[in-house]
Amino acid sequence: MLRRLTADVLAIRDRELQGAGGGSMALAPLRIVRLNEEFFMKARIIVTLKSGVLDPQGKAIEGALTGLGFAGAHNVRQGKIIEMKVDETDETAARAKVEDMCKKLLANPVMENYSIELTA
Amino acid sequence: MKTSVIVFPASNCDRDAAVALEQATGKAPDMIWHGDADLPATDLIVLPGGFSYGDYLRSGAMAAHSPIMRAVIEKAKAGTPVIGICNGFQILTEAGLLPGALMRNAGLDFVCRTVTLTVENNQSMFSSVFEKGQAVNFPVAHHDGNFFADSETLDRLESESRVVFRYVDNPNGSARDIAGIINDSGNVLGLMPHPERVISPLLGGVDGAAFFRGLVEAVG
Repeated sequence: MLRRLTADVLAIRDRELQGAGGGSMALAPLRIVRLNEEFFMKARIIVTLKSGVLDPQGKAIEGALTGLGFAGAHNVRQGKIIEMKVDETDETAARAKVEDMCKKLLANPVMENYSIELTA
Repeated sequence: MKTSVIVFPASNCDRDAAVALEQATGKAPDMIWHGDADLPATDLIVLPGGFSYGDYLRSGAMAAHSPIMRAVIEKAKAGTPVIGICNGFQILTEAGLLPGALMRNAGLDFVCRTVTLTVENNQSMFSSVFEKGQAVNFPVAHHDGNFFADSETLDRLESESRVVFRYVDNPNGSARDIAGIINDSGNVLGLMPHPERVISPLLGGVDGAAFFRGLVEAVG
């Protein structure tokens, strides 16, 4: 029930934000939404270098591991993980939003791949 | 001739660029804060070196979305000459004005020394002052200068003579020793080395003075 309410409130807020200038009325639903944050999706974005792209940091880590006596660690690749809460209760909407973030900022398609994990 | 230098948070070669431009044009450039939305009338835009936004996420990634970049991209697409030096080059690739990306140096070292470059193409407005094949000396100072692009893009850059400068002794692992490239219309240059740091014998060299003088003559 609360999850449904949160989704309704988000829809109202989105409509208001799209409206002319998002006046003072737009602020009220935002405040209600904060109360129901536990229903937002959590996103974990994993950014990795594309295969074939030289990863000097991964190579240095591999060298250090070997130096420490860890035999048998190969093809070490370093990436990054970005975590966030997305103010969406619907997984499809959350994924679309995070995909857009990845394309515009979080990953550079010239050299990186990304994957997105979503949890409620 | 009016010039502009864009100043990002943690740019640190903006004043060097301003001195180089003033020496070449006789007039101080407009220093434009990255948060501004509009550019004044300008005949040349320089994105300077530095470590904008602390190189967070990827070098140049945040700066490429600064408010001023909308105006820079618009001007670049309309034909205004734009130079990105070092961090400026990284910003231009992140903004999509130049192809490829600048990755961590292959040797993992921060490389800070003068390097020799070959002028591969002297038909661009940025290099017409030099002879084709001429050796010029500019300093580099970067951690993420390893130019990367897929082989198709590299082949296209080569076949369209868009590689303007190439390292004689590759300091960072850049694909095909590429130090500087132009866009397909020839009005946007990105290069990792710093011509603005060698504009007087007092600073250890004058090849950068020739670079800016030649560019100002070419732009008119």
